[in-house]
Amino acid sequence: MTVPRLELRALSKQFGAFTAVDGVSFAVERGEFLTLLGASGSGKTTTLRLVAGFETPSAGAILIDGVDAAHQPPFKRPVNTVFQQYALFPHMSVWDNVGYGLRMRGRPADEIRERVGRALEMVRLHDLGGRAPRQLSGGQQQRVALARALVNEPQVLLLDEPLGALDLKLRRQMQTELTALNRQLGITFIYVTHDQEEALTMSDRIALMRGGRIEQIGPPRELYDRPRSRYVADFIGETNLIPTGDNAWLSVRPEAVAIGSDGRPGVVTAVVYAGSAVKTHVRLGDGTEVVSQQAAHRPTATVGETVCVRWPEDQAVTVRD
Amino acid sequence: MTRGAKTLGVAFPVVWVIVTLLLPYALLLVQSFWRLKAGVITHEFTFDNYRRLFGTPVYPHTILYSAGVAARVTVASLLLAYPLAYLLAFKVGRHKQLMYMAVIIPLWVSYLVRAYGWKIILGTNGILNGLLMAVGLTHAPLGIFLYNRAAVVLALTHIYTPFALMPIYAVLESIPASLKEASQDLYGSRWRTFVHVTLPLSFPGVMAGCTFAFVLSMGDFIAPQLLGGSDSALMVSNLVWSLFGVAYNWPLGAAVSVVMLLLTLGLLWLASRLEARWNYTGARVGAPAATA
Repeated sequence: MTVPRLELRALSKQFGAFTAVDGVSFAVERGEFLTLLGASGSGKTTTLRLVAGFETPSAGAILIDGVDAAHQPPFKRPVNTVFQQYALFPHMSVWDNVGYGLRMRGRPADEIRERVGRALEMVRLHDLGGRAPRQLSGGQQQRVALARALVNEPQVLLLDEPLGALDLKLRRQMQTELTALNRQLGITFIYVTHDQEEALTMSDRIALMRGGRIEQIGPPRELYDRPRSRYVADFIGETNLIPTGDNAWLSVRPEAVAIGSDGRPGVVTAVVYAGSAVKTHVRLGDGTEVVSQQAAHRPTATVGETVCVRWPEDQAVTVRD
Repeated sequence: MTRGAKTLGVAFPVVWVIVTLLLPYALLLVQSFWRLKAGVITHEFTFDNYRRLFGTPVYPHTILYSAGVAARVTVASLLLAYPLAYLLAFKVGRHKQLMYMAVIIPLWVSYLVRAYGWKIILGTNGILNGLLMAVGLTHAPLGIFLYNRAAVVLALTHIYTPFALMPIYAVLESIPASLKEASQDLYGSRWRTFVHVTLPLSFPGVMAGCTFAFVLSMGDFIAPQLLGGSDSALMVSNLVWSLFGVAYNWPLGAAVSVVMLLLTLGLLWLASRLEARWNYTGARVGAPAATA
């Protein structure tokens, strides 16, 4: 049995009376891409900051390669962070920003030159080493922040909503680049985001957080197909929650709902065209609204029409609060 | 707002600045070119006042001496203000506002009271002598504490340190916490984080604080008068004071004032250039307004 790259054991953090992180435990393997997903205030960023060392845990352990780092200062931990607003040093050139960690560790000058050069090449910024950070675009600054962290070859790379400030197109591009870097370098990535789509596309596993705890942890598919609670079903992707009484619901994804002549009857209340797909909203007899998502080339129902909705048994998951 | 009210709103400050600031400076400049003939100021254009100013050793010497006092005050204020501003900005937690007020409140106490206070502490019947005698270090009061340059520097440092502190505090406050975290994340210890990140980013505030302390103490004339003893005659503002007063040589007094004004403006210009060059955090520390 190998030691996980990073393991959190019953990690907790209290700020006064407020519990930001409440007994979080998980283990991450070498080279794994784990996303901490959650709404704001769910404890995902605090968890990341605990691993980085910017916060001291109230309880629990943080094991990096089996060694407890929970009370080490950040500058002694073999982890590096990509900050939300990049946090590039404004008084240093791009080159000096990237070389900062190596200089602080007292690496020889020619090694620094070689590694900084390679890191800048890796993020395709080798021509811009002499620039000041403020002379770069948001996407370029993002790449500098990435190079500045990765040049140190950390055991774990922590990313705190690193794409939050970029526009959609650039985000998509950086998502692909980040996953490629993760595969290529074999460095463990811990990625914090509130964007479930981002989490689904990039991660090996997702830990969905809620109120300082992990609601569910697993591969994206598992969270999408087998949500453990109503919250998970609702947070990851879109879903229909059909009450079955006793504080339980059936969670059915819109793409699993078919419209036809047999099944549960209802009235079409809206037909929403969304490019490749059409979403048909149907109100059932008990008032529950069910959304069906089908390819746009299929014939569509009209508002006011009475139709029937049905779904395969194995596509419906019973969830509770 | 009506057009008329708007015009008035702009006109009033403009008129105010012209009447209370620019006009007196213009009069001062004109005065400095007039001739003093047998104790009477005559409206004849001359460079004599400037010739005499730079030709008589006592005047440049006084300006240099004042600059020396101001430089000492600046260094002492900086050494006090920087650590204090650092503590206020980063270490006092939720009592920050209260502590900041505690530093600023002395500014509301009359300048004279603060300067005079040092007389009470340092004088022959003062608290310091009383203390020294009480613990048996001396048997008779010592007259060495008061009426010298050190006393002036001490009092001016006390008076102007809050002015040095404010811009330093402002710039330290404006440094994003994430930059310090980034440095620590990249293996920078607390000390190296201070040296490589916090200190260089606080330069604009240091520059503004130094300018405040230097310009204000260089132009001061009450503390040297109260605490400087015979040396007091050698601060440049005391010189101006006596030229306009007992000496009744307004043109020469005006010439000294003009030279001081130009020196100060040059300094402010230089300081604001440096502040702008080093300003990365967008802090508004600003070059202090001319008080000369």
